[in-house]
Amino acid sequence: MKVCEAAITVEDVTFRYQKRVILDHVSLTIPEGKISLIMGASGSGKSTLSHIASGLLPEEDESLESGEVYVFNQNIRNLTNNRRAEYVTMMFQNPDLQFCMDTLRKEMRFCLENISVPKDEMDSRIERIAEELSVESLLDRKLFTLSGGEKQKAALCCLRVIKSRCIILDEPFANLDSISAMNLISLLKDLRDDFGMTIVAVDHQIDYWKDVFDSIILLGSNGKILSDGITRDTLSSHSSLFIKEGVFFPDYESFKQNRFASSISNDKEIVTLENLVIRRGEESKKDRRRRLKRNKRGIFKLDEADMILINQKSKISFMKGSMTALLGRSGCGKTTLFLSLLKQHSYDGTIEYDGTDIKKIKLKELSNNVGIVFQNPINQFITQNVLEEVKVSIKLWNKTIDSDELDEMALDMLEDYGLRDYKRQSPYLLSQGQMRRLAVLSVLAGGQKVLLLDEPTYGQDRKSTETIMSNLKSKMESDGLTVIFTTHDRKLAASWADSIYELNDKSFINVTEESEGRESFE
Amino acid sequence: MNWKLKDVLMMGIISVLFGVIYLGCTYAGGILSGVLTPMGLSALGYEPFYGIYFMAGAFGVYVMRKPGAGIISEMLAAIIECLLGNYFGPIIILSGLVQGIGIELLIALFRYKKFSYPTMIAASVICSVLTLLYNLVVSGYNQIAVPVLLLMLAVRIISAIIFSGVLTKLVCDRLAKAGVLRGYAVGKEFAMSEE
Amino acid sequence: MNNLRVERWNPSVKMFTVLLSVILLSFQYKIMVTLGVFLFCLIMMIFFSDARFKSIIKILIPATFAALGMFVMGLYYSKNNSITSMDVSDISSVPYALRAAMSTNLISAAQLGSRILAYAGLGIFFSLTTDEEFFISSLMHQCHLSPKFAYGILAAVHLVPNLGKEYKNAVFAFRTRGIRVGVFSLKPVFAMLVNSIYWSENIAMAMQSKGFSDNESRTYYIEPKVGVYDILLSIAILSLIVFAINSAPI
Repeated sequence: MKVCEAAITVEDVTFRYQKRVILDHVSLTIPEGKISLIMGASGSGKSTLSHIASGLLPEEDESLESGEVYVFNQNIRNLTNNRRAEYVTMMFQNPDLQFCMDTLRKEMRFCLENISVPKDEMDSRIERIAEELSVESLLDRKLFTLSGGEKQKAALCCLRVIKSRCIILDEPFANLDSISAMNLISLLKDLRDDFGMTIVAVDHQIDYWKDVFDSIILLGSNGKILSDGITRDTLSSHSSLFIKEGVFFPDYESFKQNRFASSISNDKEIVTLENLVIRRGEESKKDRRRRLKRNKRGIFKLDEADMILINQKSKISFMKGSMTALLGRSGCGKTTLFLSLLKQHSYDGTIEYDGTDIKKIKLKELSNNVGIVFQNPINQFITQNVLEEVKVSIKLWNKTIDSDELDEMALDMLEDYGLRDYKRQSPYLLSQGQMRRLAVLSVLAGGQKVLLLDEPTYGQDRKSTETIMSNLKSKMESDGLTVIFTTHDRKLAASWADSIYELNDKSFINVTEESEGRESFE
Repeated sequence: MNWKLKDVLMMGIISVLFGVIYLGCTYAGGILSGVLTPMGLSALGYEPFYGIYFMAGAFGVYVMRKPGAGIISEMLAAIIECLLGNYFGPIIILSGLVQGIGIELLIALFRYKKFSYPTMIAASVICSVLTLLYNLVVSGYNQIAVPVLLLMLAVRIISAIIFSGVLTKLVCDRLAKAGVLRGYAVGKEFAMSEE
Repeated sequence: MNNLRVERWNPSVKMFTVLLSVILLSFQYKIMVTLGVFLFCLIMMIFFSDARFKSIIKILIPATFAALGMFVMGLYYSKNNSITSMDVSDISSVPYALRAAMSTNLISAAQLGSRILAYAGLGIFFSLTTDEEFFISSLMHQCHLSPKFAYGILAAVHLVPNLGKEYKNAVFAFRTRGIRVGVFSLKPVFAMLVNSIYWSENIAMAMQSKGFSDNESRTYYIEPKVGVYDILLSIAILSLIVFAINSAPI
């Protein structure tokens, strides 16, 4: 036998989910000790492929229609979970759903117990890894209080403590700001360079990886390999393929043409914020008093400043018919600001809608005018059918519409969003990306004048991102809709928004000019 | 007993959810109970929400349709409630066992094949009766006058019929229709009936 | 000093002691015994545990209300002399009859109320002096709870903060879509059930990816054992209760 060079070999894998074929005779090889990226448009089956490669699919009662997966020359079927973990482990998209214990230290113990490390060795091994990834300060904090970036770092620690030789990451940055993402990238690079770890990442965006990756595998529909072994040197020659497939390509600037910064129909303010102070969530007045008391006794050291998320002295105006992007680190309060705008989170200062203090507007009236799309789309579906979901929204706003017209309108909208084929399906069975598109669509079908969107393009490929954003734009032009959205993606903001604010050190700074400048220099 | 990890997690998380809903209802129950105290009917205040207690077991057995599903789900819910700080502590594990047996008894007699509304309702009624028998011995309800006991039983049965009998089935069927239970017995049966 | 803390008492043994005490108490009606058990639990918590006095009081308040409720209930509706069976046709005699009934009912009322108090005492004693992970570990080691259930339970409990947050979001998301959501509305509950099912799949995958298997052997960081003292303490408490039941006058 020759020396092992392939970390993972996927041989002729066909995977079917109920009646739909997800992967159709896919074969590929992941080289050891390299950073490989698996890219592809939504629906290419890349996420499924990553789950199969890490041995998590098929589940007990399912089976592969054909094919085998080998990790370090071992058939993955023959490995028990604990043996497999030493070869390959996985880091998931949602940082909240990766842990079973409440602190990182306990979670790492759980990992070590799984692989039967003797009790006496556990502490030293945990300490060593914590030091290596400099997460000592996170070890004993409750995991639910950590930011998204910290949680992903914690997840990485767990995989590291298992000494897994290969780690597969499924869109690990989907919910992270750029600083946290770059931070993780540099950790991953060190793991490759210092320990020869194999890293496989499934991602829509190449940007974060562009300086560290070794090769890219581009997938078409049903996991068809369109191109294998694209390196940093040959990347530029593949740009047309990426664009054709609707996958993000670094520095691809097709967005530019959509920009029309000067097209704001009038300079009427629709939402204004002044002297705004927003405190961290879930703290009632009673809790606050208790916390202050604890502070006095020095038991718990969260001081007043830490509790304030936003402290905005200067006035901010959102103009009617404009699109505004809000940037900032995750967990810094952008979502909470949305909640305050809809009277769901307390604040000090003034928020006005159309010249009236929102405290004087009834909640029902306010939500008739201001709509919101949340990050978790599951929370907002009301029916068990994709088509119904859109129809319900249209109907709520046009009570008189006749049913043929309604059907046609809804189907057109689904067509635009690439969801027409799924019209009879349950919304809950869509992929993450599709679910979010449907959530945006169903709110967009309503008649609100202002839309707040929390990370509308999270987990979307380029084609879907463009569809979502250009639909918003056309609705702005036709109905005078005002859009405010949060994003981690600077490029997205620069390409589409009329104005960009960055939440930095608790207050919003207008960075519109700056971002424009930077875009054109790069 | 071939429970998968994800089954345990699902029942666990759903028990927490029902536990939180129950807690919300006990505030209402507490007020009602307070109002009824001067009339000597305080224990009656909690009876209208009793059916929510049975929901975890009813949900478990309805979704998984295999021996022990109801009892284990109810016990899981009880251990979790104990961890979350119920003032009866581990004693509710004992009540959980009784509730689980109560809800599963009839379904087991039907060999886990019948899950119609009448079955679920009858199972809920049996569960109400059995838990009241448990209360007679353990909570000392045997000291209480029979007419009052009958009143309590009546309210408990109505609550159980609403929550664990009708509502649980209704919600599970809707979840199955939405396709999210496709990994479980109820989802598979639903998919078969669709075809 | 640390050796005297009941936190160190093996949780499974502690649990069975509590449950056996409950069974012993449910077959007797002596007020002195039930009140004695309640006081005993309080004393144990205050002097031999790290439970904070404040938390004891806080959790005792609702328990006391429940006990009080049962007391009043017994006062009115004891089986021997229930006011439901009273002849109320003669209006003028009612207040007297009521008082008479209550005085004879006083004993059974006290029995009912104090029993609830004793149970709550035992329950609170267990809850406040038992660390959740130590408890679950002990269930694994002493009661053969499989790791699948043990870690499943812990994972579910640790999701409580997320659950509350998502529930609020769901209610709110529906409202902003123009859908009415009342207190008893099923829509957000339905969304939460869907979330729960997804979460269970995700977390199960994450745990399995980290090497968790149902049947493979594993090591344990915390490995609770049952010592002689654990059993002795249990026997002592149970015999004390049996002795009290036999010797207490009322």
